[in-house]
Amino acid sequence: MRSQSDEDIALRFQRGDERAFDELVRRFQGKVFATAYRIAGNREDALDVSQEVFLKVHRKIDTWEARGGGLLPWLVRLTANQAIDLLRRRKRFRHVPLEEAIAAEGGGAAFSRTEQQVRAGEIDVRVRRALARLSESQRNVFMLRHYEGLPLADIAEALGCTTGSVKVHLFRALRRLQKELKDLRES
Amino acid sequence: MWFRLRRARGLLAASLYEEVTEAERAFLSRELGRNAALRGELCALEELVRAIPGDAPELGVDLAPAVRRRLVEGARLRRARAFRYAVAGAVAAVALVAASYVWLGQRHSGFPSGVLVAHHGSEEDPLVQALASAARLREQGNFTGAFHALKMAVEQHRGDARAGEAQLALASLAYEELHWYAEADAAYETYIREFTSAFEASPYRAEAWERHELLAEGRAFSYASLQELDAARQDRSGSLAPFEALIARYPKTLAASRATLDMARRVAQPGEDIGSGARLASALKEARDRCVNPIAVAQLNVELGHVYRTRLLDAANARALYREAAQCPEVASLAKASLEGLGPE
Repeated sequence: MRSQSDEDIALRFQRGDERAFDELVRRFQGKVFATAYRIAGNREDALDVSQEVFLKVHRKIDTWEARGGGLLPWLVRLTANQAIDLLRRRKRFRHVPLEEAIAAEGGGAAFSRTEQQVRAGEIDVRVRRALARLSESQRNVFMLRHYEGLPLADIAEALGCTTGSVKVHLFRALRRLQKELKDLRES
Repeated sequence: MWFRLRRARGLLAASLYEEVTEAERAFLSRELGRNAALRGELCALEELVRAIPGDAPELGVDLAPAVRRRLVEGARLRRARAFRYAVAGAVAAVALVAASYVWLGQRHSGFPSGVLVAHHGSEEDPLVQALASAARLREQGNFTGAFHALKMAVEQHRGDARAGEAQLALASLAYEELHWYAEADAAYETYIREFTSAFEASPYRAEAWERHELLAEGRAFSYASLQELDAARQDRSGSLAPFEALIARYPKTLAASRATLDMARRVAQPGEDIGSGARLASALKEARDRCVNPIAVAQLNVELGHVYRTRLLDAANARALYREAAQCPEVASLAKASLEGLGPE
């Protein structure tokens, strides 16, 4: 049962209540991990990114403003940036062939997987790669809408722009993803 | 025309997630009716949104303990950096041992009362009057009253040249007498950040900074580490067990370091001065030999190693003690860092 809103917990932590921080970690760790995983593409990196994000939250909670949108958009933004930073540092997404990437994720067992599973794995890798290539605004809007299901108006408030701009970012993100996945759809 | 297409594309994306109003839907329908390329984009994007899975991978573990550990580790590293700044030229471990020793030996003759007493005579400055009033309350044992008097004085006379001193007295009262650690933490933070000039000029700067770091570390545990240290000190049985338990629960922390010094004092003869390096080492050894918890033993070995290194200038013994401590996984990183500090053999 949730007795307090996400924002109440964040405000408690802003006032110095460390127990609120633990509560915040436990409440959002699943979503932060999922966001990190969608970009980093493997469990180990996603766990590392998730921990880094919460350490950052601990340091930067004072910069979060309750009136600037919910806590989740802020966390998704921090997580996506952290995961992208990790990828940039390792330069993974630039040169890894699709086959290798899938094999790295357990796709090496493709012989025993159904065609549908193999295809889902390919889509997954392509989406991850495309997400890393989107602009920050496009990526945040897409992830918040597609994966987290946040209304566009809430996303606009969280990102400090108009709903119209959010829609345009979403369209551009989708079109970029479409290009990344085009050859898969054609085959 | 361009704006019209831009709007239509934005609405097209929004419509995929069913986020368009009736008016927007009507506008989009009109645009789709007259623009075949837009219709093609709609079909392609509908297919795309269906193809991208929205399910989330399972985390399956609780990250909170790991994040906590990393916060504590980070605080330890910050503390090491802070000491390099606060006590220029001194080794961090020396500062820690020395400051703790001063704290242990002179708890009730430290700076809070000094600050308060120093302003008894003057009556013109309202802040000085408030300080005098707080000093009277403190002498009467009314620490809460003194705390609130000081707090109000600082709030009302923030721009006064002596506001920094009042803030320091406030922080010290909260820490030493009231054990209100959250308030002490906030007060030291304010003192260092907002009264920076007073802090930098203060003869108590190193001690204030050390307390600030101890409180910052304690914050990560909701100050439970400091409350447990208080409880261990209040235990009159003479047992070291409460300190051992605290060290085992918070190894490698400043609180654990403080606990080892309390243990040394507890095993020393009544009235015995453990200020010299040799006596302090002897007391720490005795405390270590009475311990049963391996984490406490390792923490004591690290502290003992610091005394050998910095007070007795005996690198060989320090190295042996750090190596022994490094065998304990809970203290290993601290022991290894201390070994590195010794340099090559």
